[in-house]
Amino acid sequence: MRLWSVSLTAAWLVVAASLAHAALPEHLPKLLNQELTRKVDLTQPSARETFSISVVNDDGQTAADAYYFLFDAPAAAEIAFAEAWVKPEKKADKRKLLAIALDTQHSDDAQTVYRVTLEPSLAPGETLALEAKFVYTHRRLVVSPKAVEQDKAQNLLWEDSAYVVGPYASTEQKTLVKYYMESFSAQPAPVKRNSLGTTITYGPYKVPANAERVPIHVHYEQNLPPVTALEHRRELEVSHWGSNLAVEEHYKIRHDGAAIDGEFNRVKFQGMARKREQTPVLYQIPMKIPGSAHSIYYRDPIGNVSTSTLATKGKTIQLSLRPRFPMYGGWQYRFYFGYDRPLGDVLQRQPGTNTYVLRVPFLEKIGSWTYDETVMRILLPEGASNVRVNVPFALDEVRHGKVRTYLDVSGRTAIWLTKRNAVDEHAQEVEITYDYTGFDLLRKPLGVFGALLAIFVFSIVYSRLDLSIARK
Amino acid sequence: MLSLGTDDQTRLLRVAALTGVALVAFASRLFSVIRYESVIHEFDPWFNYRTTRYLVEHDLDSFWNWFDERSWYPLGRIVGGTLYPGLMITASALWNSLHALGFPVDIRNVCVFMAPIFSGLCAVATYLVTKEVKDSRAGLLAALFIGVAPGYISRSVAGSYDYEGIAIFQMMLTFYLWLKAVKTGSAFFGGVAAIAYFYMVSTWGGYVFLINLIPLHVFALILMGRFSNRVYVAYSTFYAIGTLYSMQIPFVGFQPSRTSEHMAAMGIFGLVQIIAFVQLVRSHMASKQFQTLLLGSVGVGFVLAFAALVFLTMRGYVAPWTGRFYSLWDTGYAKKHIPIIASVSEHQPTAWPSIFFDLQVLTFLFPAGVYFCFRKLNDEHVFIMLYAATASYFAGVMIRLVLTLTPIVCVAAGIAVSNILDTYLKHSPPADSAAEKVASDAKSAVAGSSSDKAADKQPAKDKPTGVRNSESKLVVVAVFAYMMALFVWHCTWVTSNSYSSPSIVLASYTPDGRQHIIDDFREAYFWLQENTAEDAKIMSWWDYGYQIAGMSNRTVIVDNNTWNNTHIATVGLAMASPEPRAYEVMRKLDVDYVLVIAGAVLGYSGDDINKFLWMVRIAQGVYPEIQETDFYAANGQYRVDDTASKTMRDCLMYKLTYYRLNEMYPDGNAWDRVRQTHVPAKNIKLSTMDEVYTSENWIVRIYKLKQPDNLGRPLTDAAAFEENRRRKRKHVKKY
Repeated sequence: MRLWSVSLTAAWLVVAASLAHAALPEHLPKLLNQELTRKVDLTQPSARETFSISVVNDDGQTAADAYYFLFDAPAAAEIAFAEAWVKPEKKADKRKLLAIALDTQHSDDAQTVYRVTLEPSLAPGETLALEAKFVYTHRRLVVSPKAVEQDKAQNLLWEDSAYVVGPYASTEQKTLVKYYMESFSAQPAPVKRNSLGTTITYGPYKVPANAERVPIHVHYEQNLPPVTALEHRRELEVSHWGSNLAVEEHYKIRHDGAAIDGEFNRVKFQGMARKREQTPVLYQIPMKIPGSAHSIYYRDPIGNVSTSTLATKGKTIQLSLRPRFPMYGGWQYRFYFGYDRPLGDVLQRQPGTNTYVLRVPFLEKIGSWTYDETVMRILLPEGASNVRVNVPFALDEVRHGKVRTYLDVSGRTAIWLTKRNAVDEHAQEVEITYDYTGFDLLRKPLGVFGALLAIFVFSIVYSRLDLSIARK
Repeated sequence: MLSLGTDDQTRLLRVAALTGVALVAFASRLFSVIRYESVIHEFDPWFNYRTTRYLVEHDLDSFWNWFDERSWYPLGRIVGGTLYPGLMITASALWNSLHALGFPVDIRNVCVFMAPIFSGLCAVATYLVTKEVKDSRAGLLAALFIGVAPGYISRSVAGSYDYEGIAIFQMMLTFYLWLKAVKTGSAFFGGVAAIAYFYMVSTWGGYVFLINLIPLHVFALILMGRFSNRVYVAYSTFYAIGTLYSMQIPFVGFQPSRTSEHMAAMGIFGLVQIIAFVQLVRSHMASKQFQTLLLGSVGVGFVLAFAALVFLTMRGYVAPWTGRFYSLWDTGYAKKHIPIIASVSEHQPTAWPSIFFDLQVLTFLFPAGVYFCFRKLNDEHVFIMLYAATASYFAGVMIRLVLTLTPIVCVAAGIAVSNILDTYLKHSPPADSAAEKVASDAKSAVAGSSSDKAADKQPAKDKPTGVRNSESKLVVVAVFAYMMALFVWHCTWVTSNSYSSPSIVLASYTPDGRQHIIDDFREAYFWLQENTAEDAKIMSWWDYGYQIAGMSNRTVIVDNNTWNNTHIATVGLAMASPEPRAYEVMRKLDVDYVLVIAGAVLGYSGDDINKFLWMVRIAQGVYPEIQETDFYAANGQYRVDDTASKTMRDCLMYKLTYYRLNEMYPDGNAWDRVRQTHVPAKNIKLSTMDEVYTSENWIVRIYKLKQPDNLGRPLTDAAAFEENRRRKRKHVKKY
């Protein structure tokens, strides 16, 4: 238990400064983290933190109705997704989600506060197994050095505190960092390292409430390219006549990893053909789309991109899109792709009514990208009314409107759902309910019929009119 | 057809046949869309596409006033005043009406399908012209010919979004209306012809052919003593309205009154007025006095007019013939005086096989058709003959002018074939009713190649002898049917193999028959668009200017609108100079990136090293420091291997093309697959620029200019210094 005492000494250096938690509400019920495990997953270009906390209400008087997570403000600005739940008894059980939200009222320039609402509140003496997950955009990880030679690997830097600080004391606390490949050691030295060398552990520590941070960093090799989708538009079009859901996705992406130090060298790139995974180059975009998809296309603003392959694997189609050019740090690319899929897969009619329910994912996961802004546009058929949208996470903007396209008279019902700073965890199902009657279905044929009828009537009348001035 | 009269039946058949022909004309141009994709082809269409996109995104006013700072940097280009806007306005009108009707079609698709659509219309216009000259049977045949003739398809496949694609339709329409005006003597048709002419002027510089051919027709009619009030009315309305309209196009402006190309039309207009006046006077005077007056006034008038023309030309009020025009009379002119025109392959004189390639059997039917016109000499036949004679001459001088020859060849061939079929297909029993005859004629015209069947169906009653018996008829018809079938087969083959490649996308086939697309151009152009600063200036040879502006949306130094020879020569100078001098020139041009096309790895023969001698020649014309002879090897050949001259191996183009190529191959085996020679194995060192991108098959290579050295050293010295230091450091490390 030598390490244990070392950590204690480190912890006692810390003064329980009142400044650090001045932001939090006063008279917080006193909670105690009996056991806190933080797992930091760095295997992907964006970091994920999972907390597993066994909380006990140590207050003796008031019941706690909230649990607060404290983050350093600069790092917390990159949190894109947060989720909290009560740990289920058995692994297979469904999670009971708890409401978690950014507490803007108590956050300030130095610290960011996330508030988990405990429902029901935690009575004095009671224990709760709380779990939470925070997903960062890839900007949480710093590319260091910024530029490497074309055939060299990319290294990322993760910086944080050796233990979790907050308004609550912890009796036992561990931080596990999992990363992809080892080539650099971490400072200060981790307490433990697993046999494969892919996970290092800090702790266990005993941490008092409002402790100060002990900075650590992990510098490690990571060749998965950190990609930002600067703009992303996902456009869905529901067609009842064609029994078809048309999907088209527009991307503007930027490789935010290590840039090339020096010249781009085609010879080197060709020579690396078999070991491209050892450099951060993005030379193909792996895309998974539903297995029932057909009529797939892949284009960019100047035409069809011929370099893509397709493989069907069970229920999904693995679509490998190769950008026109291999991408290195700082390079940008724009493209769009699309496909059709049978409407039956995603649309249900509520029996006996004219109400339909459409269930589609908000995103398709691609290599843990970060989406600066993603807009999903759903075109419902002309005449669809009473539209309700149900999304499991908070959106930045929901807009309803109309879009006039092929053979429309008044325009189709459209919904725009906007989310900034999205990550893979937002690839959840969106549910859209709308009413659509049999008459609406006949609008289009009637419209075409009317237009043709008008033309024929006009030509009949015109050919029988004598418009000459003088009689012949 | 159940209860229709025979007249209606023929009309229905005719409409159906003509629609079919128009559809065939449209469909046979779609090879490239089916085989590749809906994409804009070649070079010039990229400019047209870019301007059309601009027009669609902005309005017509800003299009007229558009100053394009993205081309001819730092000069720029006033686009609205230096192009024929007809094509763009037509496309955007089509796009706008489609959008108004609720079809949100992409503007690119409108542009891609413009040429096929107008080819369909051109078939109809050709039908109308031929119908005026002979009859609707000949018209249908001519329409079919123009629909599939490779001479026209070569410039109007889907994706070839260029002026010619729609101008030929406009030309045929104007000719039809002109013939109609001459035949009827109607001011109405003269006016409509003028409007069609205006549409043509707004589209293509080739309108000059039209505005010389029509006066020539009038002049010939006068000489032949066929002058009449019809001609007078037709030409006066046509010229007056047409000229006033054509001057509304900013690019044309006052040319109709100030350049020699338009003087013939003006002179004839004056002549027609004089003659009409003289005729008026004659009708009021005794004939003897009249003779004297006529001779005197016409003679004096002609001399005065000619003197005035010479005087005005010398004083500079009327511009003399342009160089491009001279090269039409003297095929060697361009090579001597304007290398930039001679360097374009489509300006070369036409080789005989290429005429046959483009027209096949029509080549032989063409004189026959003209002969038939001689036999029935009317005003409109004179026009056909003049058109045939002039277009044949021009087609022989310049390969791209085969395009203007094709329509008349189709018209003449249509007349010839229909005459033959009239003679040999017609069953001519005296008892046959007229109505039946018309029906069978229409059928034969529709059936075209398979019409021999229709011929056998009709039993001969009393056997005629000689060429008129049914056996000989059958033989002739069968031979012609076979020739027509062969012609259609040839056209399809030529279209599919020669004229349907977009040229920005190359295709090869793997041994198992799969298509492999080589897409280096778009790869590199798109790289430029995505990964260079918005205001980066790209230097390349002028061939790629339009494509870079269109696909990369970046500023170019020179482009395919070769209006400034000096500027192009400056780019040639940079390419042909050794690195320090080239750097100096490029800094003056404010260049950020240099783009070269290198086919050495793939064997792409249209690359910059093969065009390099033209760059040298054009540069030499302005900058005498460049001498073509310096670039040849000691034995006088143009080489790129070890025997290449020092000037050649030091020049920028050579270095940029072969930079790092030897790293691809084992020692000393670097190979150029275009020139089929070894390339020097020595490392090429670049001190003034960095390679920033090379496309997958090495076709496009992009280099970035280095910033000037901080210490003010020449970049070559700075690079040598760095090299030394690195070597020293290595040296130190070792011990």
